Amino acid sequence: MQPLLDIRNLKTYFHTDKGVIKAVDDISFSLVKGETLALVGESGCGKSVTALSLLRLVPPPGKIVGGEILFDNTNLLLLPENDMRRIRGNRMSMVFQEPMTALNPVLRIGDQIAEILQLHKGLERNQALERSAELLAEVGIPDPEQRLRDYPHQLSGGLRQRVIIAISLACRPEILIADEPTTALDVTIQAQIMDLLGRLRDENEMALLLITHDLGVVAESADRVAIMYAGLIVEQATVVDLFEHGSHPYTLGLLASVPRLGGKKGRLTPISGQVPPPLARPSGCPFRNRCPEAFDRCAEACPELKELSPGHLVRCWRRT
Amino acid sequence: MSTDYLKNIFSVLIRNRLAFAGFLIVLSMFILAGLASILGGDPGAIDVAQRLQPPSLQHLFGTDDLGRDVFTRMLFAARISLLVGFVAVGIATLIGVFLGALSGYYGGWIDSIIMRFVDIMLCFPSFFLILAVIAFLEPSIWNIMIIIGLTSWMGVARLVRAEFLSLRERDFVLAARAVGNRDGRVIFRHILPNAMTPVLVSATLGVAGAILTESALSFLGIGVQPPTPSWGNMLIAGKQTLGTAWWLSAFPGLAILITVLGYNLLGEGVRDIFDPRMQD
Repeated sequence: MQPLLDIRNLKTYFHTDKGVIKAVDDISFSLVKGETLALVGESGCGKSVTALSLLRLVPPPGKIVGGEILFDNTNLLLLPENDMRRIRGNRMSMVFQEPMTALNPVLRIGDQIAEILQLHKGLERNQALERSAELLAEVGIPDPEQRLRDYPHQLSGGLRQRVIIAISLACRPEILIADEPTTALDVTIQAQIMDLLGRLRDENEMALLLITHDLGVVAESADRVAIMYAGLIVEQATVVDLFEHGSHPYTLGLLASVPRLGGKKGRLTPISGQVPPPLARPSGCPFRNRCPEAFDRCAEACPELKELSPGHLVRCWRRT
Repeated sequence: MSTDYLKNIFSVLIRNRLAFAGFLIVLSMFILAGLASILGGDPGAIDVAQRLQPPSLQHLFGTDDLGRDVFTRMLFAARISLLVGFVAVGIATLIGVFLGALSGYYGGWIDSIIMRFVDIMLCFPSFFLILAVIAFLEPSIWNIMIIIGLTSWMGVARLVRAEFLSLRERDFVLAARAVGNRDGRVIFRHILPNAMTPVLVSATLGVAGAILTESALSFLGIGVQPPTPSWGNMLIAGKQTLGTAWWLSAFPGLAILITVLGYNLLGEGVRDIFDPRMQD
């Protein structure tokens, strides 16, 4: 099937005074209509920068220095800024991590939703507000007409995240990027939000790029998974493959550190060490300092992504 | 802003005695200026038979050397002062907000250029700059407002820039861009309303400064031109007869003092209200 979004060799670097930080270093993946791809990794591995790169909103001094982002066969990196703006929030939109800060504190909820409809769909303010109420109802917010007149501080975290989802879905985007949409919420609310995202994805045939560090969420809602480490994709597979035949030592480490119901009692197995600081990455494979299976070759060169089985890619010298 | 929010501000304002005093002064100046033509008569009515009368029930603040009623002229002068204060501060705030917002939002070389321009403007002793400009233009009330506005926007620009520097890093700014807003809309609709508090405070204090500057210019004879009354030119008109008719200078002087005091108290009160560290 023709991918809706095809990212090829994307590189986003931050040019700082102390050196070049390779936040995203040559990653490729694709996204098909109606599927959910989960991008998983620890804090600081480049997940959010990848998301912002797709919208071309990388904050300075960050810059996309190479690769292609093909959306419907158009390379977004070559589009003029005006055309790019017509895509943002309209055909590709984003749900932010922090519902407490992603809404503007001085604007009413209604105006914040209506704005995007006025912007992209050319609706009049009154029509846009009516439509906003429908959207709020759609994301499960009770009493939507009333909520339109509220300010963000009058709503709870879960309600705010629903508002943010309503904003991002207002124009029926083809791609929704959800950057840790449930990290800041209670567990019960998390499940509701994930259900909501899944339902809306199916109803609108969206492609969902789900960024998370929660493997539980991945197992529940993703179709395919890409594991990121230090700006690289180290393993990519379908959810079933990953949980059953996860192969990269980092993936195995992540899986071993998740508590399981009915699993054996005792301490969880953490991955030793820390993510290396971005300016002091080890030579060769960036994971080798923490890898229980590292050997000489890992220090010499970084391995390529190799296909283990169809659709299952791994970046490790031990596996190829 | 919700009505609850405004109610809340008002209740804090009442609790802060000095700020409330300032608020009352400012309010009464507005009322007096607004009712000038009802409370007083014709500010230009000359009655030489009644010249230099001391304060009495008929002439509350006495009469001047042409027999004009000082109280009436002061009411009309209050209109001039308010007009000058608000228009000048309005001009200064518009320029300051615009340049400060650009500077803080874009940063980089745009910021450098605008901030160096601010530094240059701050180098000029603005009162002498005003004197020099008035010497070329004719001293009309509109010229004065424009010149005061054009020479007092730098503080606002710096305040707004500082606010923008911190606000632009906030998530909702990124979110506003992520839904496809233009820069202009992000700056003026999304960020600016979050940065208005210090602007409001500085504008309130700025009105006091503008009224003082206007009085000073009028006192020097290059501000508001007679026969239009202004507190500054009434002050200087009373100079020759100060020994015999104190009321000609004393009342306009007091009016300037009280008005400026009122705006300063109100401005500082508003600052305290918005400063979270000052709340119980």
